[in-house]
Amino acid sequence: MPEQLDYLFSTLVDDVDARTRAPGARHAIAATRRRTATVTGAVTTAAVIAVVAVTTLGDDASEPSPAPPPSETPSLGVEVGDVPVWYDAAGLHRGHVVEQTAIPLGPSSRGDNALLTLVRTGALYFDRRAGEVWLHPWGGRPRVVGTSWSGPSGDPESDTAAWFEGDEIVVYDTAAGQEVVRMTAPEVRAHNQMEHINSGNGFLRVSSDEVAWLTKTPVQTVVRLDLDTLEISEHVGARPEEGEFLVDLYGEVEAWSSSNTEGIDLFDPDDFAQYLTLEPMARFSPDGRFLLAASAAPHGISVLDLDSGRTDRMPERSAYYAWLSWSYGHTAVISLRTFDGGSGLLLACDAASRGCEHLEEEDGELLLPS
Amino acid sequence: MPASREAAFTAFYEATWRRTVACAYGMTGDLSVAEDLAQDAYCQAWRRWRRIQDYDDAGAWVRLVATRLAVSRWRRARTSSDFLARSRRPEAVEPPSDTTVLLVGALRKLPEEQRRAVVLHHLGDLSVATIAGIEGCPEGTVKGRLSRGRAALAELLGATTGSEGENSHA
Repeated sequence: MPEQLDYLFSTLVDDVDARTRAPGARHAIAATRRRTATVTGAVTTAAVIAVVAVTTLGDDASEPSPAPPPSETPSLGVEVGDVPVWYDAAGLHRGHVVEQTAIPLGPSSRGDNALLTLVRTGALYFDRRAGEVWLHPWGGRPRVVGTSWSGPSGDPESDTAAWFEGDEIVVYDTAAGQEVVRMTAPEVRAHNQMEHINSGNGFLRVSSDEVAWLTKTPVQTVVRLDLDTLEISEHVGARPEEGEFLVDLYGEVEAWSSSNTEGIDLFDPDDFAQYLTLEPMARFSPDGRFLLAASAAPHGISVLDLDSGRTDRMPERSAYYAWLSWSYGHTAVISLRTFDGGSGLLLACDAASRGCEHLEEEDGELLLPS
Repeated sequence: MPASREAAFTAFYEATWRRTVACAYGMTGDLSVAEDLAQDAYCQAWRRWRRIQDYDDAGAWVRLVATRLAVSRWRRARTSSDFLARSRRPEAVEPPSDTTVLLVGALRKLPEEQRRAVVLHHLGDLSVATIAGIEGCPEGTVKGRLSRGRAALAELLGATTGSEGENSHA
């Protein structure tokens, strides 16, 4: 290092020292406590709003909803409670309310490229041909919020969504209407469909704390972006042996297929458990408490409660093939089709009570959240 | 919370604050923003204090986080808006020296990767090997960025460069 440059940098450090005054460690500690308190308060508020919203929606059987009035400012959307969400020929359903999307989303227009994902106050979908990411605020006017080749993934429990544009991951705050992070990162898989999961890309988890995804590499490498530190880390998961694959993850809990048992192996840093009755295609609920999976012998649907370790079967539908998805809260939306792909049922199931109710599905064009 | 834990964090904070702000200042060229970024970085450090207090150089971790936060467009925007939103009356501070103004102005003209390498090495006191590990690239790439960054700085500042080992900060 040339002496002159060293001298200049030391001058800068001295200059900063003379001009800056540290707020103090106590401020940093207090700010961390404030943040924790704010999050807790927000969760409580959200729960209250959700209860009110569910009550309101229960009385709202009108469909479809009127078109939102023109607005100069982008609409933020509203919280809609733990309602089931799906798309069919009638439009985008959230409980009893049907909204019209800006572009058609169904299989006849999108094929395998169909993609629907949720955030706290709306949905995101993808126009792969135009490379456009659409944000559809509940009760508001849909708008393009970004361009992408991967399509988006969202967090039903927060306002966070993510997608890839070029070699950069973009993290977007749907409430603030702005990008929160844009940085170069290992690319996500654009498609990650599997049995019982009818659409999706390689994003495994999007939250206000982190984004996790599968890369394009043959090995099941998981990439994590810590949204507090903007640190990117990669690892090959708990079970990288050949023939096994990562099914889903939530925080530090990973669900892996088991090549030996054809069941699911669950790992966390301190524990390991095998679930032999679950088929290795499954999804964690938005809060990570439940794992929804197809079950074998006889064919059906099961839900694993990670709090208790208990696995229960949903009401028996062994004559059907199940497509699984999560909506808000503990509400799963499950499409059951006869094995020849013909007629079927659409169910909204509460993972906590294991109860299911039938949903009125317009024939054709069904798309479930990924 | 054990008082000793908070006391250890306070000592760490006071010992490393100046250099952390300097790193963020080198990245942003704005002292107020740099102070906010540094404070954000220490908030992250406190949340992870149980883990990072055992690091060989926990200060390097904080400096790294501060420079990452500086890179994020969102953090820049948010920090700026937070700063503007504050109604506090700005405190009178000494203006920066002419040397600092020149150096910061020159740093801001460097491509981001070169600026990060120069700042982390010369202000953050991190070795080439450490920066390579952080950036996920070979050491040669970091050396190349440092070399090009210093050459550009020398040209911008009218200084002269010479060749020397890259591990003087190791």
